[in-house]
Amino acid sequence: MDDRLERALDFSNFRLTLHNQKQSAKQRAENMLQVQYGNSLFKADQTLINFVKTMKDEEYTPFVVSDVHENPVQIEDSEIFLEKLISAYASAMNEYIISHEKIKKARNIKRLVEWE
Amino acid sequence: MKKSKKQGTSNDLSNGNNGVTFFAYNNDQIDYIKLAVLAASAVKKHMKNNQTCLITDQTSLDWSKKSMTTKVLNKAFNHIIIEEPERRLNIRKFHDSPWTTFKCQFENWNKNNVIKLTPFDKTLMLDVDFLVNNNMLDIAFGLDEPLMLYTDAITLRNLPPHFTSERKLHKNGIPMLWSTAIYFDKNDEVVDLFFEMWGHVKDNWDFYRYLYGFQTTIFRTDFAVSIATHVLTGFVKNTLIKPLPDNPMKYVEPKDDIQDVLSDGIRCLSHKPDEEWQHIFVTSKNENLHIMNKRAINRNWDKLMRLYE
Repeated sequence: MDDRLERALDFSNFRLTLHNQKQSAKQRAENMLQVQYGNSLFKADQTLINFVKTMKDEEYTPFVVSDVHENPVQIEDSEIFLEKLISAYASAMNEYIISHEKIKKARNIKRLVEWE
Repeated sequence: MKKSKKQGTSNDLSNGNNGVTFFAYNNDQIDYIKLAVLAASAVKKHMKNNQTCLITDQTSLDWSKKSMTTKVLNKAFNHIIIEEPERRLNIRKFHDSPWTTFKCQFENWNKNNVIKLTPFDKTLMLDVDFLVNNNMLDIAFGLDEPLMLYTDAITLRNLPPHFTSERKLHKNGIPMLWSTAIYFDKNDEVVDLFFEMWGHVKDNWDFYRYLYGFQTTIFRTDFAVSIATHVLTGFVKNTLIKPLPDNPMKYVEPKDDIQDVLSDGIRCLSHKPDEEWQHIFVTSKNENLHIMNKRAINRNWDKLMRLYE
């Protein structure tokens, strides 16, 4: 095989593996954003965190938000709810950035999949 | 005949009578109880609701006591329930990498009886080839939803299933739901209806095969669950059964393989469905995995058990 093509195919394989490992890390972070509050499930994304913070600052309690299944849920204690959201967001994003940095630094497939 | 006996103990950190139930009937090719021991060990390591129950037949259990010892079984399971399967012919083709296939009898006819057999009020029924690697499924036990399962799945390549038959019952048909993991509260009326409807679909399998237009002759619980849900929802898009918290389910396809087990994860070989000789390595950490290549689990059983110690 032409060396140039062989090197290109090696790199192509590396890029495919790199992209896939990044996607897995992203998917894991998405899962970690799930927060149970009361009997309902929420996604601790930036929008919800900002909204809850606004409602809390405006002393607008109790208030209603939709959970991930689109059921309306009344939030009685905005402080605890916000704390849970921020904690889930921080854990998910911290794990995500650690994984992402590790993947970014890997320069070959063996490193990417932790063979060495 | 139903016999339930409590074997061994576990650190019961669960809230209330919650737990995880497995069905395992051995055949001449696959030791399902061995797989169930591994899956239960993973549950005990990662989940808070970690009481476990094995539903099996006497022959499989007797063999496991010899091959793995009672001590191993007691450590893995809090309850063992003997329930003889229906033993209706259901020959399924299994893959082990793209290069090997084998056929054997697959006992899944009585899975809908789990609602009557499970000793738990709130149950997570898992297939024995589903390995829990985080605590996301604990969330299900605390939600105000009586019935949940995986509505979507992605492969190791983070892509939706390649084949239509793993996305829909027919190319123009209803979406396929996954019966790999089903969470339910057995005291809920709708849950009762769901399992009854599942039983009805099973008993009239040929009719429903014709009605929903799929070719497969083997009884697939994924399909039965999808049909039961479609009927109960009012023959429209599913709004009845909510997805499990870590939906979509990640799965290792039957033609994928386990390359090695790391100290904190599993490294797999993922094949490319349309060019089966092409593979990439994928390292999976902290992700729940449905590993459909059962022989691959068996080859790596000792290493996987160490992962869940």
